[in-house]
Amino acid sequence: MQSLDWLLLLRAPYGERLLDATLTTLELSLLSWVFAIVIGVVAGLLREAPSCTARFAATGFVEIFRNVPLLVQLFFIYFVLPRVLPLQLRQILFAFGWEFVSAVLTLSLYTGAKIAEHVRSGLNTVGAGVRQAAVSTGLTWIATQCHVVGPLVLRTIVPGLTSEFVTVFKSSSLAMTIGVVETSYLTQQLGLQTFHWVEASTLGTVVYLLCAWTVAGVMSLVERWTYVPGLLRRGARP
Amino acid sequence: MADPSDAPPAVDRRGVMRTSLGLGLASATLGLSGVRPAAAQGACAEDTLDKIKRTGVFALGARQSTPPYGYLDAQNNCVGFATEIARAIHANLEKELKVTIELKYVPVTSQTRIPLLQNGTIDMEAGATVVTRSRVKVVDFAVPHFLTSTEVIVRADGPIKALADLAGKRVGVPLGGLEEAMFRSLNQSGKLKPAVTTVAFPDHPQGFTALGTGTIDAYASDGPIMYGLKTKAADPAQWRVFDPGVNVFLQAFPIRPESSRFKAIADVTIVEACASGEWDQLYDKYFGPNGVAPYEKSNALAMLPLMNAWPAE
Amino acid sequence: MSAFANDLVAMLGVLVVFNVGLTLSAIIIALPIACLFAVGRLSRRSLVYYPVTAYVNVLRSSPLLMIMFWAYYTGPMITGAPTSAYTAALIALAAFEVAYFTELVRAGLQSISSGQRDAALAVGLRPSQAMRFVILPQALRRMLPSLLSQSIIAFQDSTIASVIGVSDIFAMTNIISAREQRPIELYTALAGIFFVLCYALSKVVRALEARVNARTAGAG
Repeated sequence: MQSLDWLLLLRAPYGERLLDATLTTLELSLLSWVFAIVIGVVAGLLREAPSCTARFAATGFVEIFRNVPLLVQLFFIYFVLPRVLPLQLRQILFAFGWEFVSAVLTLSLYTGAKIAEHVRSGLNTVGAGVRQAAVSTGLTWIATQCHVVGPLVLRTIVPGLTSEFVTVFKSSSLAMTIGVVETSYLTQQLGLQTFHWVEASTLGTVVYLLCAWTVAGVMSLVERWTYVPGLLRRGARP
Repeated sequence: MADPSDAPPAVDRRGVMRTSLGLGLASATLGLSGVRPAAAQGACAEDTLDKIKRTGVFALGARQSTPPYGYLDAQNNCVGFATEIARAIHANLEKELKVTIELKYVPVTSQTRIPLLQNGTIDMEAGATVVTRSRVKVVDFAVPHFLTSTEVIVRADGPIKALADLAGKRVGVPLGGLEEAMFRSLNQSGKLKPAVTTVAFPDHPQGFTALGTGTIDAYASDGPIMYGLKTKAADPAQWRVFDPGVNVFLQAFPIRPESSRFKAIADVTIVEACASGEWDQLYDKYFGPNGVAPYEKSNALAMLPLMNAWPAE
Repeated sequence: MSAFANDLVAMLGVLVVFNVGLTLSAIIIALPIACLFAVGRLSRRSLVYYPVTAYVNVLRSSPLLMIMFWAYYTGPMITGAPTSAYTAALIALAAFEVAYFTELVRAGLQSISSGQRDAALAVGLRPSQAMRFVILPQALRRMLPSLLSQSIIAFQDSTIASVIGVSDIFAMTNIISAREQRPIELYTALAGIFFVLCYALSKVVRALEARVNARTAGAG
C-alpha cells in the first residue's frame, strides 16, 4: 500500500484544483454571510414590528429555516425552486450555474434565520427603554430601527455573529451534495482518484480550520472596535 | 435560547494559539517518525482467504440502489446480477474451505467501495466497478464479468438524441466516476463545442431527480445503470437511453492485492459460470428482454463469456 | 396517493431508527465525556488543559461532514479497524457534540458561584467529590436548555450521515424521489416532519428555559 506523500496533492494537477475549490468555499461563504446579515437583521427587527403581518411573516421565516435541516433546505431549493420559476429565469439560472446560486441562496436564508434569533436576543438586551425614547422623540418605527436600534443591536450581537460566521464556512461544506465543487467535494474526489485519503482529508480539514481561525481573529478585532461601554459585559446579566 | 452574550465564544484566541502549538508538535512528531497507516501492515499482510478463514465471515460489499447490478428488492433482500455472482463465489468459498462461512452484506456506494476494501471492512465488492489503470495500482480485480460503455439518459421528448446534441448542455455525472474525466477530455479535444458542463452528484438518485426537475439536461453513467433507472421509474416511457459511442470498458469485482488464493476461487467461479451457461441465465434474468433492466447485448459483450473460456486442465 | 402514504410510513420508520437513534446514542456517549472535558478545560494542569482545548477548538471549527469523512474513510485506514457507515456516523456525531457540550458545560460550571465550592470543601468533601456532587449537577441543571437546544441541532445534523451512506430518512427520500419523480411532495413532507418535530422540541426547551431562569433569578 502507499505511504503518506504530503506533497503529491499540492503539486499539479491536484494543487490547482484544491486552490479553485478553496476559492469556491471562500466565495460561497463570504457571499452568503453578507446576504445573511442583511436578511437576518431585517427579519430580526421585523419580528418586533408594529404590523401583525410583518411579525407573523418574519417569525414564520425564522422558525421554518431554523427547524429544517440545512441538507433538506439545500435539496428543496435546488430541486424544487426552479419548477416554480418562469422558464426564461430558469434557463438563465441554469446557464449561470444553479448549483452555486442555490447554495448561496439556501445558506443566506439559513444563516439569516439564525442571525435573526441573535438580533432578537440583542433587542432584549438593548431594552425597551431606548426604543421608547426614540419613539417619543417623534421618529417613525422604520427610522428608529435604522438610526437608533439597528446600530446598537448590531454592536451588541457581535460575539454571537462570530460563531455564526464560523458556522457559515462549516455549513458551506454541505454544498457538495448538490454539485458545488468546493473543498469537501474536492477532498472526496481526490481521495477517490488518488486513494491518498489521509492527505486529502487533512488538507481539507486544514482549509476549514484556517478559515475558522482567521474569521475568529478578525471578529475579535471587530468586537473590540464595536464594544459598547457599560451596556454589555460578557457573562453579565442586565 | 440563552442570552448570546453568555454563550462561550466560538473560538477563544489564546486557545487557538495553544491549539496550534499542540498540533504543530503533534504533526512534527508524526512526520518525523514516518508513521505509515496501520492498515498498510495489517490488512495487506493478511491474505483475504486467511482473513475469511479466521473470522468465518465473508464481508461482501453490496450495492443497494444500483439496479440491476445490486439493489434491494421489495422484501429488502440484496439481489442483482453482480450480487448473485458474488453469492456463487461464496458457495465455492465454503466448498473450498470446507467450513460454513457467513455471508455478510455491507452496503457500499461508489465512493466507499475502495476505501472499505483497503481497510478491510469488505473482502470484495459486487457492483459495477470499472477496471481502470489507476485502480489497478491499488486493488486487484477478479476476472471481468461484464462489459459495457457510458450511456446517457435524457427525456424522451427532449431535443437531445446523440452525442453532438450534448454540446453546451448540462450533464450530470456520478461523483468520482470516470465520466467527469471523459467529458473533460471531450471538451479539451474540441469534439463538443460549446463545452459540456458537468455537474457531479454523490449518488444516482440525486442525479436522476435533477434530470426529472430539469436542473440538468442529461445524466451519464454505465449503460445498465441508466436502463435500470429508466425501468424503475414511475413512467419509463418518459425517458430514453442512448449510447454516445465514446468508450467501452470492463467491469470486475475489486479485491485486495496479495490475495491470489482468494482471487483464484473468485476467478474460477466466474469462469465456470460462463462455461456452464449460468452467466447467460443471470444475464437473461437481469438484462434480458423480460429482465429487470432490458439491455441490448453488444457484440463485444457477447464475446465476454468466450474470453473467459479456461479449460479445466 | 396510497403509495405516497406507504412511502411516508417507511420514511418515518427509518427516521426513528436511524436519525433519532443516531442522535440519542451520540448524546448519551457525548455528555459524560463532555462533563469530563469541561472540568479539564478549567484545570490548571497543562497536561490536561492543552489537549482538551486543542480538541474542542479543532472539532468546533471543522464541518461535521469532514469529521464524518475522517471517521468513515480515513480513520479506519489509520487504525486498521473497519467500521460501518452507521458506526462511523455515530463516532463522528458524538465527537462533534462532545466539543459543543464541553463548552456549554464549562459555561455552566463557571456560572456557579465559588461560594458553592467553598461550602462543599468546608463540609469535608474532596475537590473531586465537590465537583461531582455539588457543582456539576447545578451546572447541568442551569445549562439544560442550552444542552437541549444543541441536541436539537444534533438531530438536524444527523441527516448529514446520509452523505457517507447511512440509509437514514434523507437518503430514503432521495431514493424514493428518484423512483417516483415527485420531489416536491417528498421533500416538502420531509421538511414538514422535521419542522413539526424540531419546532415542538424547541417550544419545550423555551418553556424549560423560562422555568430555569425564574428559579435562578435571585440566586448566584
